[in-house]
Amino acid sequence: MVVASLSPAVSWLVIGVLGLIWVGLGVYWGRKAKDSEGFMLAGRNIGLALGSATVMATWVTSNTVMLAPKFAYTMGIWGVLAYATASFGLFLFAPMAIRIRKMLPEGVTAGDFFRQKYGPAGWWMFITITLIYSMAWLVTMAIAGGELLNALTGISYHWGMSFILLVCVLYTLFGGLYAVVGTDFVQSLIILAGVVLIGVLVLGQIDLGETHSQLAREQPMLLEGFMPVALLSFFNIMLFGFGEVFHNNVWWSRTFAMRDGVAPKAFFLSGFFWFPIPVAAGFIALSAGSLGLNVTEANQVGPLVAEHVLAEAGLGMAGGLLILVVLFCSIASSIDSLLAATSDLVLKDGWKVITGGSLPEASFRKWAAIVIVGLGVVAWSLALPRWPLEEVLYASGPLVSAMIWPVIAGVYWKKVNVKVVLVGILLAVGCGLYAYYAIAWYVACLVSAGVSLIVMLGDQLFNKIQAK
Amino acid sequence: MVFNALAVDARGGEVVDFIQGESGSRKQDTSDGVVDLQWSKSEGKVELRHVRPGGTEAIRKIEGGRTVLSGLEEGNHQFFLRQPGGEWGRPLVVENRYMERDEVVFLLVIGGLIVLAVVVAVILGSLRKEGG
Repeated sequence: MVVASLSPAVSWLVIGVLGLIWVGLGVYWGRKAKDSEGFMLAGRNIGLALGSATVMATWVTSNTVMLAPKFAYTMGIWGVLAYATASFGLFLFAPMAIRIRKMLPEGVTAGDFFRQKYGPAGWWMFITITLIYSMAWLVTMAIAGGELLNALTGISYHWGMSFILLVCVLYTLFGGLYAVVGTDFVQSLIILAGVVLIGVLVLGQIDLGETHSQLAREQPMLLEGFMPVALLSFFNIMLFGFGEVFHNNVWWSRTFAMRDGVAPKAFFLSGFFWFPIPVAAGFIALSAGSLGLNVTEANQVGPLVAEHVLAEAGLGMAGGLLILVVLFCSIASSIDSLLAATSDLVLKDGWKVITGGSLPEASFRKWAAIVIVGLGVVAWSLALPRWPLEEVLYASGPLVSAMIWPVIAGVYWKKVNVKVVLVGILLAVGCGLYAYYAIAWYVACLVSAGVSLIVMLGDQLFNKIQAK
Repeated sequence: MVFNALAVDARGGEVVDFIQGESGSRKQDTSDGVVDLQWSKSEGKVELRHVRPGGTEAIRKIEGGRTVLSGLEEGNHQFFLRQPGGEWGRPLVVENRYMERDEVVFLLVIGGLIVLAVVVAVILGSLRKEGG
């Protein structure tokens, strides 16, 4: 368990100031949002610097700063490298973004693509999968925020979780994507600088020789070249990343929001800058044993080691502040993006399905406010009892992996059989979930993407035979 | 893999013993080299003795009621718990068995092929579309 090095009063002051800054910036930047396109897509005018930063910051979730160290602690060097392969989804989405912009020049959400390519049934399948995944992601971020604030500062879980959600809801509410992208830019700079600084400080304090000896003695499999779980998690993480980035509206809305020609470069650059972050954040966990720390929760091993080492270096309060600010930014940068992208889906696609028409411009901001606040309240209600929703998030891996091939086929292939695609998604989800529960989590995405690939290739082969 | 145990108060030299969770079994399996040991919150420190499959052993003093150990090698690991100065309780045996090497290699090949197929599909698709 992380021992709080900051008093609740100091911590409230710090997160209060940070919260005020984010909300203030949200209100300031949000003034540019004159209409629905401005609010949802920042006027389709995001440049390279902001575009790269917002993509990178969104991908740096609390998962990165908590799960990457957990992967290092439980799977060793391969584990942390496996986690870093999540960036490959961003690299691969870069060329896809060019095609997506050409296919849907007026596109607003990923739902537009699914409705156009796979009809109402395809859209329903997409919205079901993406809402399960996005809500699980949103709620786990809120829970992680509350738990981290509690562990680092002593602030009660409920107050911490409520505060972080409130701040994100407020600035998304006032500023839409303008606020999200702007705050993401500042947050990404803070995260990058903070992670590098913490890594360097920790590296300067630990004895690498002793760490290696301790690992070889007490945790020998963490140094093994053939560590089954870690090696298999490579493909699981990679495919999870592909499925997540390819299908989720968080990434599609950014693609539509960037200026012409910017999206591919922005996704490539963000993947490039994101790749070392899990490595930098994760490797410190390998020294937990040599530092004599008792790890009670594997997902808090990163903050535990960082806080201990910085305190040993005489940076007790400053170190605690640094960790707090980096974690607060990491969590906020994901919550805001999820709120904005999911509310866009509900506003744009949900309205169309329910009413059959488009949301009138005059009432757009009112409905946007209702949906964003509503999503925040739902997330808050689900986070309040602290249900272990991370299980839902992990189990959604096969769901998002089942979307990889339908997205590729819809973007690039000339002809696809819609019924086969939809059956393929269902089969892939079913088999992936079975693998998740019956075999292990680290094969679930692989099974799901594999089944989907077989179905899609079978359909293509059948088409070719028929054509002959 | 989570195991529950109870560190009984060692007043008068009482033996500290593991008490298992739902199954009541004193032998548990894991397949990822990670073991999560828990016992009831005890005052002060407890000592955890870990006997590895090769016979080497180590004793750690732990504050609190839980510890997560990782990177365990394959085989049977025995854990004993006691309050400092007390007697060791009955062992908890954790059998760690990773997935068979052949299965892992098979899945790695399949995983590699699927990832390669995704990469090739995206790159070829982009080249074809952008190439006109």
